[in-house]
Amino acid sequence: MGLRGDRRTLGLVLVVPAFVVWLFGEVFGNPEAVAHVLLGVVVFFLTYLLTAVGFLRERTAGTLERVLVAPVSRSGLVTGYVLGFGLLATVQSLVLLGAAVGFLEVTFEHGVGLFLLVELLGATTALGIGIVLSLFAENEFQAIQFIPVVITPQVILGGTFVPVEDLAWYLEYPARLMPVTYLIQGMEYVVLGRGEAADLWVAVGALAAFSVASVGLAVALVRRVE
Amino acid sequence: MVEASEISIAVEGLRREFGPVTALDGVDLSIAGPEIVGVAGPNGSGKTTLIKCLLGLLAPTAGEARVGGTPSRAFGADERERIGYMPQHEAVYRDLTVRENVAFFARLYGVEDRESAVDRALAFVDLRDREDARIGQLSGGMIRRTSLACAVVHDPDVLFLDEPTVGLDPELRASMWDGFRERRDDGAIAMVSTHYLGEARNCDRVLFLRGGRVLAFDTPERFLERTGTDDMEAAFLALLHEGDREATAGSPESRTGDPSRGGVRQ
Repeated sequence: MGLRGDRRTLGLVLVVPAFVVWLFGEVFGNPEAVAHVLLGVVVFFLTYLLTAVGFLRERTAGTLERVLVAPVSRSGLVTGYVLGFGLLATVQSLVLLGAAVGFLEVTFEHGVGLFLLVELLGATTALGIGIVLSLFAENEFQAIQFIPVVITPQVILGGTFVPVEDLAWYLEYPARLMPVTYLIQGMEYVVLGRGEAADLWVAVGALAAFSVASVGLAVALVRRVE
Repeated sequence: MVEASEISIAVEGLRREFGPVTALDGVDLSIAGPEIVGVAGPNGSGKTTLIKCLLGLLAPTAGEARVGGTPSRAFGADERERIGYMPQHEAVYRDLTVRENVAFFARLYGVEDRESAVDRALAFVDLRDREDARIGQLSGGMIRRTSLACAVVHDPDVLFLDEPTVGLDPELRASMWDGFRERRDDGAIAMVSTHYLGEARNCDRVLFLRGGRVLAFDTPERFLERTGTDDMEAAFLALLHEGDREATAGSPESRTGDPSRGGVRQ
C-alpha cells in the first residue's frame, strides 16, 4: 500500500529483474537453456520478498491494526493486498519477459500468454506464502531468514540443477510437494517446448491449488485474534 | 451521529494474560453517552491492552468487553463503522501524502462524499496547508495529527485514542484536547489513554489503572477532593500509596501485573 510514493523501491522492482537476466545472458554461452528456471524463480523469489517485508511493515507500523478494526472483511482485506502486490508481480513479469526476449533471445515455444499464466500463478503462491510467513515473523530480519528455510530448498530440489525424477526418493517426494517444482516444470514446456502438454496442465493445476491454499491460509490467519 | 443513549462501553471482569504476565486483572467499567474518559496509569498498567480488547484486536482471557452492547469479538461492519481508532504507533503510510493517507482510510470505511470528509478531517487537525506533503517530510507532531485525522474521517461516535499526545508540544496538546471536546460535544465517547497525568484534567472522568486493575474511576475534581491535592499527578501518587497500604494489609495475590516485571505488551 505504502509503496506508491516509494520511488526507490519501485525502481528496484523494475530494474533488478532485468539486470539479473542481463547478467545471466553475459555469463552463459547458451543462456536459453537456463532461461526457464530464471524466469520462474526470479518472480517467485522477489514476490515473496516484497510481500513478506511489505506485509510485515504494515504490522510493525501499526497500519495493519488500523485496517483490521475497519469494516473490511478478512477476504476483502487479503484480496486488497493480493491485488496490490499482484500488480507489482505483474509488472515484474512483464519486465522479465522483455528482458528474456532482449538479452537471452528466448523464443517462448508455446507463446507469451501461457508464460504469463504460469508466472502469475507462481507469483500468487509466493504472495500467499509471503503473507503467511510474515505473520510468524517479528521483524524484517526474521522474514528474510525464512528465505534459506523456505525458498532455497525449493530452488535446489525443484529441478533447477537436476531433474526432479533423478533425485533420490527421499528428496523426490518432498520436491513433488513444492510449488517451485511445478513452476519450473511449467516453464520448461512453455519456454523451451520440452515435455508434453499434459506436463503443463499438471503444473498449472498444481500451481493453482498452491495459490488457493496459500492465499486461503493467509485469509484464515490474518484476523486471528490474538 | 446516532442517539447519545445508544453509545456505550461496558467491560465486565475483563482479564487478559500474555503467557505468565497478567496485563488486565478483572477490569469493570461502564460508560454511557458522550464523555471524554481518560485512561491513565504507569507504563505496563494495561492501558493499551484494555483499548485493544475493546477494539476486538485482543481476545480476553476471561470476562467481556462490549461497545454499543456488542461484544468486541463479534463486531460486524455496522459496529466497526461507528468506531475510530488511533494506535500508539505512527500508523500511517510514510510514502503517501497526508491527504492520501486520510483518503485511504475514508475509502476503507466507505465514507460518502469522500472529498469533503477528508477536507473536514484535515481541517479538524489543522493540516489543510500541508495536505500534499509526504509523511516522511513531516515533524512528529504533524504525523500524530495525520493519524488522528485518519481516525476521525468517518465521523465515528466511539473513539479510542492510544496516547495521542505523546511527543507533542504543550500548545499542540492543548489544541488536540480542544478537538476531543469538540467530538464529545457532537455526541461521541472518546477514550483517551495518556501517561501525562497532568492531562487527565481535561477528561470528564479518569480511569486510573495499576497493574491491570482499576485503582479508581472518577471525575478529576473528585480525585483532587478525595486526596486533598491540587494536581492530578499528586492525586495519582496519593492513590498509589493508598493502594499500596491496602495491598500490604491483605490480598496475597496482588503480585500479578507488577509493572516492574515488564513484558506487558503495549
